[in-house]
Amino acid sequence: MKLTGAEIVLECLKEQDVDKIFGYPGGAVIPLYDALYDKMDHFDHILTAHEQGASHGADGYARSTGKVGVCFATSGPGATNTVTGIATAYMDSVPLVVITGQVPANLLGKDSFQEVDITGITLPITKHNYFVKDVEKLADVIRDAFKIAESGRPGPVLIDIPKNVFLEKTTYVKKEVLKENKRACTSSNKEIIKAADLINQSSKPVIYAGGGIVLSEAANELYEFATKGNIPVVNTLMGLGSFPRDHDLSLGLVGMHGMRDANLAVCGSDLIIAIGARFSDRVIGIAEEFGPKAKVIHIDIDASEIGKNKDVDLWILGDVKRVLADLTDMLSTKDRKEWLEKIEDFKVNKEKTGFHAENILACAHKVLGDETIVTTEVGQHQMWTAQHFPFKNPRTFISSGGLGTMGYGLGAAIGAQVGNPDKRVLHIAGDGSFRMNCNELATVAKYKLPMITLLFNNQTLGMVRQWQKMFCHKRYAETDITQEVDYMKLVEAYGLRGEKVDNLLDLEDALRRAIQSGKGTVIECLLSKDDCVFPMVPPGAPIHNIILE
Amino acid sequence: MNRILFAEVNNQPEVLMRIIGLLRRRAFHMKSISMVETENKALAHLMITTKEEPESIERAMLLIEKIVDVYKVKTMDENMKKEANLYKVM
Repeated sequence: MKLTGAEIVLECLKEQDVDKIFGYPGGAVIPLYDALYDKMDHFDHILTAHEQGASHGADGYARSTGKVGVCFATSGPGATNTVTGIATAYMDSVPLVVITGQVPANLLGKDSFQEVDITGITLPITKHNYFVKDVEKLADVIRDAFKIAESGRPGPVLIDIPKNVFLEKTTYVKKEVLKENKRACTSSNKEIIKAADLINQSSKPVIYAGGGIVLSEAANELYEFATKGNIPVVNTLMGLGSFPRDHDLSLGLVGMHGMRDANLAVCGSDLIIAIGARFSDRVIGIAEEFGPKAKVIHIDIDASEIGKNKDVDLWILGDVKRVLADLTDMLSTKDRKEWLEKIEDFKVNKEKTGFHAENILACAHKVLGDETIVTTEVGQHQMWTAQHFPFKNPRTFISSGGLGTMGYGLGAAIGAQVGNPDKRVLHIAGDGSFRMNCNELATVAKYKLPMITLLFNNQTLGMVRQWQKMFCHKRYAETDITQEVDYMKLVEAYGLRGEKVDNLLDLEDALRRAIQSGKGTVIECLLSKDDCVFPMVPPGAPIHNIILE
Repeated sequence: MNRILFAEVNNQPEVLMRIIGLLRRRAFHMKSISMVETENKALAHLMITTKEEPESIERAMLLIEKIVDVYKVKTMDENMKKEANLYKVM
């Protein structure tokens, strides 16, 4: 069967079971959208307000569903607008396939209208990228792109296709996608036995659980492993939800804004078991002081992560799901009572009163429940959410960890809601992040998405202000964004519901009304600009150096 | 002592860009770079001469191995390079 390049792209997406595409049309992809016009019975195309929103949408879809996110953009600015989204996905190991149009081959290299070298631009932020010059190779490139995006340590793949390739015809033969094992286990049994011995001998172990557990769908295996050995679990930002926060063994977030008991447990431990985590600078502070007396076992699928930021005593390369299952079999059941009691003493039990983030999040959790998918932007609200929202399930906390992309959360929430139409999606934003990409409210309105935004409005770029307060002698350079936008009028302009609250009772009522309405709702919470995120470890300090208030 | 990072790669210019970009970002010292087509025209051999410490070279190798277009990475000393009879093109 002879098909055009554009039709082949869509047939190959069908082969991969893709039915949701986030994108934005433009000159170079007109043939692709023309082909899509005939396939609307199969594909749901989500037209965003901006290509950055499309790339974050595909990312939020991928993180919340475990599938590969797909994004279309045109050449030139369309392609460059996806760059932040691609870099965000790359830093957090999210599988994306981004298909960009390119000017026709005869116009390449001539500074033609909307021509940009997007494969050159995205070289360092993609797992791999392709420039397809020959329509004969198009189908195999797309198949390979999906394989690369989701195998091993996942990541984004970009495919750049010149307009003429979309229009040329060739024979297309459908291929069944083989469901291969995406993550091969390469370590030998010998290493697993050694690791089990180290753990069984340890009296003060800590599990340092990262996003690799979520990616590997290994939350159940982690639960079995931790509870059999009674080993406390600290989580990285990306690892939140991989272990239920309400469990006695859960110590929550570790690192710069980690909980006191989590940070001190790591510092006092004799064995750190790092699983699918990368010893990020925001977690470890000073590498030598991160568990100074502890041996370190590192379990990861990516060999280049071993010893990158912290020396390790033993490593196991492979799929953490399989490694954890094997390791649990060899684990001795222990109560480790003394160690757990000591950690209990590290806890800070100081309840905040009033309309503070901690109480707002508790209220949102009470009304919306454990199954809610929460996305955030980047800043104070993100850290408060990570600290205080008690995540129980993997793929329920979606946030830009590595790149720290302000403006990520709304697009990601759209993607999460599209991928999980039956679930509640809560988007938590600061006012600084919200105004970066609030144009995507148009997408929420267009597709009648019932998601709820909690807008933490403290009229400042709060996290930067906090650093200015603590480390720059309160010289608040360009962080005030006071009263410039009436968010309620903005929300109304998009035809969505808006409510403004300044106390917990009104918030609870507003959340219930939002659920009842089934409409996209923005609830603006008025906060003090002096509220800070604590605990906090100063940058460049060891993580036991905790400022509590 | 100079060491040589050797890689067997797909014979495409972007592979060179990928590897050099990756090393540049990590401030990896490069004394010379050569990439030549092999008898099998689909493949090329890339050699980078460096004075980096073995540990730094090893870390670079782990990163280079991850690149989809790379089939094999190893280190060589300068004598082995002469035997390999490769030509400097850059």
